[in-house]
Amino acid sequence: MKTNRYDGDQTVLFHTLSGDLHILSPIAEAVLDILGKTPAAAPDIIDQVCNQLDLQRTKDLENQLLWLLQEMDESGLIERAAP
Amino acid sequence: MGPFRIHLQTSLPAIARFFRTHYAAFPLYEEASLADFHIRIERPRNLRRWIRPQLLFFLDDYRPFHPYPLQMAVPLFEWGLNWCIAGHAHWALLIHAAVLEKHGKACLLIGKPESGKSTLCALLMDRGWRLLSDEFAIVDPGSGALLPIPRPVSLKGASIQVVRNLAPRLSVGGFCRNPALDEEMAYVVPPPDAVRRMHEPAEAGILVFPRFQSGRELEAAAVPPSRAVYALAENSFNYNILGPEGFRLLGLLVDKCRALELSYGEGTGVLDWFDTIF
Amino acid sequence: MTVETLLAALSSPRVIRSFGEGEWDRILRVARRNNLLGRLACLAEEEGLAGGLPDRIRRHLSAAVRLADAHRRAVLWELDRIRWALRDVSGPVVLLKGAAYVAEELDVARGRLSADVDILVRRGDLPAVERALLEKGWEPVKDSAYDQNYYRKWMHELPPLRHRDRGSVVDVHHNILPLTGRIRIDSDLFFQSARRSKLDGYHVLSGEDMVLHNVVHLFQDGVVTGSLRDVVDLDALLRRWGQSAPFWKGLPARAGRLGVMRPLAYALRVVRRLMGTPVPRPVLDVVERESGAGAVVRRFMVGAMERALMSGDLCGAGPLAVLSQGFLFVRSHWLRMPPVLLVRHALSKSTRGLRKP
Repeated sequence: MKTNRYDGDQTVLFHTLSGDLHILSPIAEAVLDILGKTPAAAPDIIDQVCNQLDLQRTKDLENQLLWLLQEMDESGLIERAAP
Repeated sequence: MGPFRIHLQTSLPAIARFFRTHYAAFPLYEEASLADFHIRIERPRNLRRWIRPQLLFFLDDYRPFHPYPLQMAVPLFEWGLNWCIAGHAHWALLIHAAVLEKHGKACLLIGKPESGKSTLCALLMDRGWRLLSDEFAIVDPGSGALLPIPRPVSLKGASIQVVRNLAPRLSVGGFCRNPALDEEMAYVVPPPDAVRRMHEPAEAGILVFPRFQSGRELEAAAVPPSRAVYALAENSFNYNILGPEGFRLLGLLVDKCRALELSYGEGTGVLDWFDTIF
Repeated sequence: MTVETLLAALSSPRVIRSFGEGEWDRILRVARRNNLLGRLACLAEEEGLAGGLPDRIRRHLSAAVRLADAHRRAVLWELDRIRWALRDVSGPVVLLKGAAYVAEELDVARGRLSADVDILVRRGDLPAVERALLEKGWEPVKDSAYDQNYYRKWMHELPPLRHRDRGSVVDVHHNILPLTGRIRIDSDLFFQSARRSKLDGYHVLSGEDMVLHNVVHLFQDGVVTGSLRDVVDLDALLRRWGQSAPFWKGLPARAGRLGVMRPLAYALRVVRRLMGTPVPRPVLDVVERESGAGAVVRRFMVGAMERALMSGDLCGAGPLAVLSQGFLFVRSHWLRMPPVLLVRHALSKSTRGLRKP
């Protein structure tokens, strides 16, 4: 359960479990949105994010997204299910 | 003092003197009972009573700080009281900010100690702004209003002279030297009017993040709400203790107020600028 | 004595309605000093007693409730992160003390101010657990006062591990009884009786073992090593588990098995006298008989223990108040601005010259 706050181009997220504040970029928001519905595999997530935000799927973007997913896993915002 | 009642026991003349000059306008109560904080400041019974003499600060029987040198009696009391409030008053949201009111709206000056907010606070006080606090914005969780605690305004180093030059009517006392930083410290007596009105809350109107830099031109830049929420949380003493409610109150504040980052240098232009904000 | 009034208020919160200003002032301070203000405040709030009180008092209680809730949230977050760190470790992880109370949502958890987490793992799992925690940001507490080797060999835990960023501490045990050399207790006994926790990924001790763990922490070798708060906890634990008859049958037997009959005998006496805990007479008789302590010795010990526990009164020299809020207060804080995508934040406020707890 998280409490959100939306403003302008950036959302500030209050993560209830940790008490941490996160400023989310549109990409991070999209990830949360996607995973909020059902769990998904990383390639799938990348696909959906690119679709939702109309981004070009480059190798660079893929790497950054994978890194983001790891970050969010470490922050407790999302969790990597069994491999 | 505002929402708090303090019971202080001390045998130190320096503190007694400070009370007479800086807390003269505050009401004194007969009963020591039902104080919020029972504070004792004393000299230790060991050798350090006489050799490089020290002072001990107690809240009830708890001693939160290492001993301080005797000449720091006044700052020890002020910082000790800050610690008591910041560590215990979780019935409210506490933000590290100076708060002043004019025309029914409060301005919060939020920032690190070197940002110049205490100096600004003293100078604005001199210009007729009502002092609510130079240290704590106390946000009432029910109403979202700011509760005053108009205690002495602390000044350090060069700012002491700046305030004495620009606001000679203000009464500055409680001088001492901080040996650790080799810096002079002093306290401005809070205006009696501010003390008289210490039970009048104020609605927050504007959040200002001051940044002093020598020679800088005056510039006020809008801070987007998301950054403002974050910055308030960063500067809050107990936001993490209030958790979800703390977040809600921060959101309310940011919704209610404009948020500006104010860069400024020497000169009184910055004070004129404050006249324009409400 | 104010401590007695405090204990009476904890047993029957309604009595606080009759408190005058002076009494409130003393009760608040003594409660804080004995780390019981959180509990008093939570009880007052739950029984709807805070409403009619003067603002000044209500604020102190409200602050204590919030602080206790912050600690509860901190424990749950820690448990989440520990579970996450130990994802790939297969052995059971049993929660102990406060962490277990919070996980099981027991009444004893209400108002507690402690965010340290104690866990019990099999000795064989220790290396894997330690590795996993160190990998995920925990590090041994650097303290010149203790020796790591000593800890591993003689104590029943790893050295405490503090999380690099959050500042929270986890104590990893592989046994929970002091290895005084008298009896080596096979820690397998605890795992056999442990059951799944309400919290995913964890186990908790049986009710009997929870109580005995508290007792052993309260008294060791006839000396009071616990605090008044531990007595209050014991009362809450006994009231909760004591609702079922099998518990009272099992408790003496278990105590005998673990060789802790004597501390249990003292503890039951003390908690009955101080908190009015309903302990069935037959159980008390059995335990006292089996403990081998004669009536005279017992009365003396119990008296001495009570005096030690009640020494946290306003006039006494007393234990220092535990401001475990220090953990939350100085929680580490940083602002990371990674190149593209996510900003994370956790909070701290550190004050000049603050002593380490």
